[in-house]
Amino acid sequence: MSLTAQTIRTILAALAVSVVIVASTSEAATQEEPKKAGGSTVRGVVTYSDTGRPLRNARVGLLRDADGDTVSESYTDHHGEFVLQGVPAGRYALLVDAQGILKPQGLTTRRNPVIAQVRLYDKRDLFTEVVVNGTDGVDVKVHAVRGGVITGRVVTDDDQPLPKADIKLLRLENGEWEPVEHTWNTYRNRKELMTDPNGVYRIAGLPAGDYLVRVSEQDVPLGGNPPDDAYGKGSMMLTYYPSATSIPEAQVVTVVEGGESTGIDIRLPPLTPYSISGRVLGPGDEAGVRARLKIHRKDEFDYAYDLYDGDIYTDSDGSFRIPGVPAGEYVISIADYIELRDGENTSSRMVAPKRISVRVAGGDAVVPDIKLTPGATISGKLTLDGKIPKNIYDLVPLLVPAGDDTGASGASIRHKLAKTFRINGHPKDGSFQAGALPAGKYWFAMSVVPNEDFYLKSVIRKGVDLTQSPLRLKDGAVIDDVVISFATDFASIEGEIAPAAGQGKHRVVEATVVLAPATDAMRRILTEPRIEHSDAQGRFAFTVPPGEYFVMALTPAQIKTLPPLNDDYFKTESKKLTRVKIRGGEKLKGVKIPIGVN
Amino acid sequence: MTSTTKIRMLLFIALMCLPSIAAAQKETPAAQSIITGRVVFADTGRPVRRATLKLYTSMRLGPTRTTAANIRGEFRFSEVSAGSYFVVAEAAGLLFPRSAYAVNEFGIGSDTEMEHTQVTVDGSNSIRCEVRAFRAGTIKGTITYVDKEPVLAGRIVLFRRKGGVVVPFLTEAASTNDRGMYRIDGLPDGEYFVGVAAGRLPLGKARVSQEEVGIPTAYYPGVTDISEAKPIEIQSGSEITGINITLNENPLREISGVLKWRNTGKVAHPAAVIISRKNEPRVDLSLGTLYESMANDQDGGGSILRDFSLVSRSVPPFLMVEKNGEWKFIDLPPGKYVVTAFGAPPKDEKANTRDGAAADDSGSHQRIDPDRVVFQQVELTLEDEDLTDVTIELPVGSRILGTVNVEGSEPIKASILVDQRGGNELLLSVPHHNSPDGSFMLDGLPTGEVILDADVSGFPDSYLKSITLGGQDLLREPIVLTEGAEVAGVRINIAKGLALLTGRVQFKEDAAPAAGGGVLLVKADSKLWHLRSSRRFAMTNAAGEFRVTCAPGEYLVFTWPAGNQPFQSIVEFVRLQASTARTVTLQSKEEKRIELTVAKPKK
Repeated sequence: MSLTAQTIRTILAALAVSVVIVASTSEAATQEEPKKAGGSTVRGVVTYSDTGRPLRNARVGLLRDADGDTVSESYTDHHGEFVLQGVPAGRYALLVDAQGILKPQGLTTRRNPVIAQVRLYDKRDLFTEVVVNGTDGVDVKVHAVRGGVITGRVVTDDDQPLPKADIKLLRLENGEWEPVEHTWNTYRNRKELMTDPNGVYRIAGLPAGDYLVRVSEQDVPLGGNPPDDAYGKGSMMLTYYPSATSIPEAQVVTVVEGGESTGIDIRLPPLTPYSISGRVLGPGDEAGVRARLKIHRKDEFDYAYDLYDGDIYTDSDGSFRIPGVPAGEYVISIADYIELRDGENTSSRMVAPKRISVRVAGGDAVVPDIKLTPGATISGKLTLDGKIPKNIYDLVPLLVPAGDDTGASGASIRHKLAKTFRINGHPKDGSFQAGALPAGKYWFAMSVVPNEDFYLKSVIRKGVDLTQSPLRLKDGAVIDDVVISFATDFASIEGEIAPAAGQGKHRVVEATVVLAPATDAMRRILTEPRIEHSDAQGRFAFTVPPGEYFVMALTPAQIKTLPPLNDDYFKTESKKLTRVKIRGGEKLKGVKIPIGVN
Repeated sequence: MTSTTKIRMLLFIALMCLPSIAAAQKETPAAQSIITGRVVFADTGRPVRRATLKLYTSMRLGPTRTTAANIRGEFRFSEVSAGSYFVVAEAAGLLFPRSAYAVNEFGIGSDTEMEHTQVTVDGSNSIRCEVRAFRAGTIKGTITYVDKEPVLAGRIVLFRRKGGVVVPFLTEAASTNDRGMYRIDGLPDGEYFVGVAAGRLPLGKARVSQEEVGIPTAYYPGVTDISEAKPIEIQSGSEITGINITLNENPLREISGVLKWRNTGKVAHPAAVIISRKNEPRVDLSLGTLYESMANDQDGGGSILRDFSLVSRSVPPFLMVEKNGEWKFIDLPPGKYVVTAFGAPPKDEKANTRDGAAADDSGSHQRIDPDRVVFQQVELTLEDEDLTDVTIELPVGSRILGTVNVEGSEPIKASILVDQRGGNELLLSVPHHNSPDGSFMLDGLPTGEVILDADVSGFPDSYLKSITLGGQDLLREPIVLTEGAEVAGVRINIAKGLALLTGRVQFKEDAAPAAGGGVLLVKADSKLWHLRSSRRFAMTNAAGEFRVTCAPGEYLVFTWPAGNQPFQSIVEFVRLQASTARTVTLQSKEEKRIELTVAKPKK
């Protein structure tokens, strides 16, 4: 023990000193950026858009439009004023980061210009555009918009306040309830998204819209031998405002910007914790040992994390028990790597992931034995321009279950990644092998992260291009002759926006140009639309994989009235949109597109 | 990577290196007792839903068991071995030992004046107990500007007054929301002062500690000096609302300048500056305090994180000096300030680096060598104008050379502590170490009276016997250094043969065990009171028992009940209580037992 104390002290000394050492390795910077040689100075004042009064102690950041990098940042002072020095020439989006203030939502990628992205998504400017020439200073007036607020109290079924309850929000977007990312994607103990000791919560800075409020209890360490009805995983016990156990029964909260939706009180109905038990077996009926199980609510499967946070494993005879589950519909999925034990023999194996639906109602649920199968295997070669790729780790095509291959718009990246299988090539010879694939129908698709260096050209097996027709896998199938070809012969599309009828020579200056895949196959190759600004002469250019596209140009006013740009939109409006077809390496010039969609 | 990320990574690595400490008692054969019970609120009798229950043998150890109650507050611990235990309930809104901390020279104390439920089992019986949970107090308010707009992200600072002494008090970090509203929970009964720090914090890499709060801008009801602040009284879990502060219109000012080396006039870089308000209660950040707090706290893993996090929040505004020696603190309210600068002098070309640290001046990887740091402090008064062009000069440090000698044994690696009269409160009072052959060199020492001390409590059965220079007793007569002096021949003498004092503390009123209380042994010789090596701390367990090893000698013994850790400095406390303290004298290797009594805390 005494030696340990000595070690502790030595380590703590090192840690405390490391505060200074670590600090001293970074560049010293005072409140304002030190005067750099050259660069413009951006001065400004931030005021609340509703009262006109200064917004103090708010962080302002200048993001470069081209790549989203924060070039400079500062805090506003007592007058709401700020100074950003040494800004190189360019176009920027100035963002305000302060509690309760609305921020742009649509910034998802560094590929498309910041301003074009957020304008298209938010349909309004929650930023201030700043253009500097690298020498002269500019003055800006920034208006900060107060978002809406949802606040209320959470009580138990016997009217006692529920502290440390976790709050998550869903917002209605294009007819679907989508998770409000910052309430789901956060480390669970974030104070603002938890009820206080009086059960009160308050979430500010929300864009206008319709919301659902979802409450779950806190997780507590369970340990030892607690009473049978004690439960540790409070995240299983969830309720929607006002007291509903499912989304259809939940009541919608309409949020107005600058206003407060108060009294959004949630009362937990009595939720009895039941259990789900069963067994996991291997292909030859061996016990599936140490298999990790994940459990989701069925209606949240697309966007929620595993409710049990990966804590459930099968034991040495393959059986499992998930305690603390209230009535509801669930999906249990089994991860892909388990041990199979058959009497004395154990072997580790990859098995195909499996999902089963379970309904819990009125009592403990016992599911039929879950039999895992080895799944199918596909193998073959990965090539880049016909040769073994040098950086093969960058080339990761995906195998996407057919039906889940929602294309360029709509589904969030998390939806896609949850159900896809990655194909990794071997650096030595470009060969790949993907095993333990569940039986089914699949599409090959480009990896979700957009790429400028190569695109998925074709996937050939027995003369059939699997980017155009799906691959059907039977359980246990072994397919070994797949050639996945990537290519670098991007094409380019250049053009200009034709002036609107009746406008004569007057050029449209400020337009956002959108290039979207025109077919389902293209949606698997270009996984998100490309967006650009047209220049001062209304010209634009895109570098894209060869294929078929829609091109459209929109003014900010037109963006506001546009319906969401998802796959359905492009299918419905296809006749009104300019369609472009282009081959590998082709440079298409002089494309004329009208402004707006008629 | 930000500093916080690096610190967290280092913490992680450090914790991985710690041998795993079995916090649980070794299970004896008789470990079949069952403790069941129910947690209820003491005031309403209603159950505390899904409270976390912890079983402790001593509040200095980690919990031996943890479990959760069900929705009716019912819990069960099974397979419990014989012994006496505290049963502690933790939940939001409750008072429990770790819900709040006072940080002072006595260490980091979880300060809650409540009696813990205690049970005793014999290893085979089952018992049932009711755990009464006490509500913690709450302070709420709104902080706005004169134009009624809210103060956003205002960091709340809290102080507590006890026995006339005001100390920083730490609960979960609180800050204002989008309406400027805040709430502080977890407060035991007492008198509090609330302040808010609403100034701008350095951005990104410039901020050393991501948990830095900054200089408080104002205290309730709206004053800039804590001596004028109005106390807020919390009793029995009361909720006090309306503790509002309106920040006045007066502009906040800056203090800035340049840091140089006195002997060369060159700019000092790498170097750092810290600022604090004069006479404002501060957390004693010297590592010695943390060591004391940890010396008897065997719950290694959890406490390090907690202690380090508390210390991080208490770091005063801290800046790295720029390459041209400039530094600037902004958003300061008027008042008296102390600015402390520190840095390590540039290395000579021929000096070999001690730890191979890069001596390159390329800029991006320079370090302040902790073995050679020098300090300089200046006092400034900020009124209604910025103070710019403040030049601070770092002196040439002095040096002490010597050896660590262990009676009849090979040298050990001692922690050598350097202090100045009045205490060195900086994070950089880092202990020095001697080389394996016993020799040491202390560099960068300040001018004036320097106190040397050594900590060998990490080594079995060892204690500091004396520190001498020729015939001079440096423990009783501090060494006086002139600038740039070099003093050689200091001997730090370590001996072996610790004594052991065990004992029991009971309440005067009813002879019940004073469980979870504190015990302090201080050498009776008043000339030694200021030295860390002359103090030993212990804590009583659930049966009121304690044990502490110490160097042979005559001691004063002090004790206080749970939750009543004294707020004064240790020297102040000892001075006040010395005349009524028990004394005990121990020879080397002697074991003695003592019975102590203490008065129950007044409500």
